[in-house]
Amino acid sequence: MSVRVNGLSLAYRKTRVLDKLDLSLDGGVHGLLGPNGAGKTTLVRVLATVLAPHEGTVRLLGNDVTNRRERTELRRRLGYLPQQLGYFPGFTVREFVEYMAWLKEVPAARVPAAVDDALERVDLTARANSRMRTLSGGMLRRAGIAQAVVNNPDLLLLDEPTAGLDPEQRVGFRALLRALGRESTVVVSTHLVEDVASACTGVVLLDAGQVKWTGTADELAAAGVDGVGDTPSERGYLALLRGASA
Amino acid sequence: MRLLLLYARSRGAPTAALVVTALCLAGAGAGQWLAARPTLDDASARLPVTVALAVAVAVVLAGTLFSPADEIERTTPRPWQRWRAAHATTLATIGTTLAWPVLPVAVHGQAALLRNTVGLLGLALMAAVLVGPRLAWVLPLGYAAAVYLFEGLRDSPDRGAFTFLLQPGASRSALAAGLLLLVLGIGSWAKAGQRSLV
Amino acid sequence: MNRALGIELRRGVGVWATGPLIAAGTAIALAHPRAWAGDWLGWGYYLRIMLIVVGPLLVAVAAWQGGRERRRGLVELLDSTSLSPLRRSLAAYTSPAVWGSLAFMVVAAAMGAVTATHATYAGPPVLLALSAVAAVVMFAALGFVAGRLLPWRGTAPLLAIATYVALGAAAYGHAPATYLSPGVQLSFSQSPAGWWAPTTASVFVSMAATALLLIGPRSRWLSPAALVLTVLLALPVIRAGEDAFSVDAAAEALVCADGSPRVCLTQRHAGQLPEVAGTVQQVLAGLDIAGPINEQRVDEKYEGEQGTLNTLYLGADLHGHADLQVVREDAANLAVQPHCDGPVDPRNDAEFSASIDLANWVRDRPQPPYSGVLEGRSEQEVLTLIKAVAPAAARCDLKAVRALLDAS
Repeated sequence: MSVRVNGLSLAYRKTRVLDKLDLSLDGGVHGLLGPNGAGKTTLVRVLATVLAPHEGTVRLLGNDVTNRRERTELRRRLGYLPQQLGYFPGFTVREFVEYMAWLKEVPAARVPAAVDDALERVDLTARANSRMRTLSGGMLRRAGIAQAVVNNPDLLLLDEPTAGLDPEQRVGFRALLRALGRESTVVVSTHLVEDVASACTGVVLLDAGQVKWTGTADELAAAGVDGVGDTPSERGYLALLRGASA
Repeated sequence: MRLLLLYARSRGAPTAALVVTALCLAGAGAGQWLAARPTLDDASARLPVTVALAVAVAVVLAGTLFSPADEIERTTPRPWQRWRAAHATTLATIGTTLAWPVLPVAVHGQAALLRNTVGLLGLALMAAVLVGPRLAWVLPLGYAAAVYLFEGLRDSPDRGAFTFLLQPGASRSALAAGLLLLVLGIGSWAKAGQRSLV
Repeated sequence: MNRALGIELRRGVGVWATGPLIAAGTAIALAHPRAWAGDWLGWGYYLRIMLIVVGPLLVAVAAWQGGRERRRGLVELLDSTSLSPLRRSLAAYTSPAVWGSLAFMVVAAAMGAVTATHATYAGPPVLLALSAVAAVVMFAALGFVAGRLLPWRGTAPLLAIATYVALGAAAYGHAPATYLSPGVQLSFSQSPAGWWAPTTASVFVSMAATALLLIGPRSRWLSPAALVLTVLLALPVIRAGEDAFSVDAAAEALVCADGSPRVCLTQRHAGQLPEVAGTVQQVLAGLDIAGPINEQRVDEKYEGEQGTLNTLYLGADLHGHADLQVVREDAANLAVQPHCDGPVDPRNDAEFSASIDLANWVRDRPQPPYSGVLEGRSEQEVLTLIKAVAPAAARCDLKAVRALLDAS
C-alpha cells in the first residue's frame, strides 16, 4: 500500500481541519474531491511531509513520516506541486527544474536528461530558457508540474495542478497523469470533477476533514443519475456530498 | 558546485553580497569622516558606524534566508537542518570578512563592529524563525534603535550584556553576548527554518 | 474613498507601529528629561531631537506599507478598481501618516503635561510642535513612496538606517542647510523667529506632497512643480541659518531668591528657583565663610569675570528640570575649589586635587574619621580649614591654598 493513513487529525489553533481521517491508496491516479475547507490541501501537505500529523499515523511507500530517516528516504521518491507555487523569478525554467532535481538527489549524471524529460512531459521545452517571471499562469503551473516529476517519483502529490491550464493543456495533462499512474501512485487534489472523471482510477471524497466516500470514477458518475449538475460525474459528486452532509 | 550556485542565486546572494560590499565601503568612509571631526574624541567617534553598519549588514544578509519555494524545498531529501546551519554560518563569515577592514583597531572600532555584526545577525536569524525572513529586520533594527538611543543618550550608559552593542571592542562580556546571540540564532534557524505561512 | 481610508486605518501596518513608536519616543524623552521638563522652549526643541529616532522608524514602517501591494501580488487586482492609483496610495499612506502622527503627539502631549508642572516662563511653542508633526507626515510620505518605488525587502530597514545617519549627520553639522533637517539640534537659550516654525512646517508638507505626487501616473508631472515650491520655501530657512535664532532677553534675565548666598536663575527657569536656592543654601549652611559666598550670589549662568567672587558660575544643567544632586555638587565646588581663568589649569595642581576632598566634605558633611587631605582632623578642624581656604580658592591664589593645606 503506497499511502496508509490511520486516525489522522490536524488542527490550526482551535479549528480541526482533519478529523481522525483514515485512507489507504495504492498505485494509480487518485482524485481528492471535496468542497472548500474540506481539508484537501491540508491532507496533501501532510502527505508531502510539509505538515506533521497531530494525531494518527501516516505511512507512505512503507515509511513512517514521523521518523526522520524514513522521511528522508520517502522524500527521495516524492514529487509535490503545492497549491501556491513559489518560484525564483530570476531563474530560467530549466534552472528551476534543475535546482529541484539537485535537491531531490537525482544523480548528477542524470540531471540534464531528467530535466529535459520533465520539460518535455509538460510541453515547456520551447520556453526552457525563459525566466520564470516572464511565464504566464498556466506555464508556471506546468513548470511546477515539471519539477514535481523530475525525479520520477513513486508518490506524486498534485494540489490543483490544472488551475490556469488551457483546455488543450488540460487534455495533455490528463494523458500525462494516466501515464504516471501506470508506474506510481498519484494523488490529485482538485475542484474540477471532470479532471477526476477522465484521468483518475480512484476517487476520494473529503468533507469536514473526513473521508466520506471512496470509489472509482465510474462509481462516482453512477451515484447521481437524477441529481443536479451538468455531467454525470458532477451529479454524482453533488449527490454524494449531500448524502454525506445529511 | 552547480547546486550551490543555484542555491546561492535562489536566495539572492549575489545582490546581497554587492549591497553589503557597498555598505562596508560607505561605512569605511563614514568612519574616517567621523574620526576626523575635531569635536569627537578618537575612542568613540566611530561608535555610530559600529552600530548602524552592523544593523545594515545583518538585515541585508538575513534577507537571503527567504525562499519563495520553501514549501517545495522542505519536501526534498536534503538535510535541511545542516544546510540552514551552514547557510547561517556562511552569512556570519561573509559579514565579518567584509566588515573586517572597514574600521581600524580602536576602542569602538574593528572588534566592536565585528561583534555587533554577528550579534545582530543572530537576532535576525531568531526573528526569521519567529516572524519569517521577510520581517527578520524588525528585531535587529528595533533592538539597535532601542539600545543605541536609550542607553547611548544617557550620561552613564548601562554596561550590562543588554547593551553589548555600545560596549568597547575589548569588552569580553559584550563579545560573549554577541557570540551567544549568533549561536542561538544559528541554532534556532537550523532547527526551525522559515516560519510556515499557515 | 472614505471606506478605503477606514479600512487602511484599521488594517494597515501603521496601527501596529503605534506602540513601538510611542515606546521609542518615550525612551528618548526619558533619556534626557532635564532638557525639556522645566522649559517650554526645551520641550519644543526636544520634540525635534525625538524625530531623529521616531523619523527613521516611521520611514521603515511606511516603506513596508508602501511595498505591500507588490509583496502581496495585489497590484493588478487594485489597478483594475475604479479608484485612481494616487487616491488609492493616499488611502494606504494614511495608515503610517495618521498613526505615526498620533503616536508622536501622544508622547509630545505626555511630555507637555510634565513640562506644564515645572515651566513658569511663557507657554508651549505650538508652532514648533506643529512643525515637528509636519516632519512626521513627511517621513511617512518619503518612506511610503520609497517602498512603493523600490519593492525590495531590504528597502525598509536600509532606508531607516540611511535616514538615521542623515539626521545624525545634520544634527552635528553647522551648514545653514542643516536647519532644514527635522532633527536639527537647536540652542536651548535661543528662540526662533516667528516665521521659522511655520516655514519649516511648510517645507516638510511640501516635501511630502512632492514625494506622494510621484506615485500617480498623471500626478507625477506635478511633482517637479511641488519640488520647486519646496525649494522656494526652504530658501529663507537656508539663508537665515542660525540668524533665525536669537537670545530672548526677557527669558535670560536673572531672577534672584533672598537668603545667603543669594541664588539667581534665568527667568526661563524661575519656577525652579525655590528648590535650587534652597539646595545651594542648605549645602553652604553653617560654613559662615567670611566674605565670599555668603555675601555674593550664585547664578545659573556665567556673567562677568571668573576669578572674582562677584559672579559665580553654577554648572548644573538647568535647561530643563534641575538635577538637584548636580546643584549640590556645584554648590560645594563653588565654596572651596579654585576659580581660575587664563593659562592656569588648576586641574593639574595638587591644590585642586586636595580641594576635591574639601568639596566632598562640604557636600556630604560626613562624620570623622576622614581620609585623604582631611585625614586625622576633627570636624571642627575641617570647618576651620574650609573657611580659610575658601577666599584663597575664590581668588585663584593657589600659593595661599597650598600654604594653608601645608600649615595644617
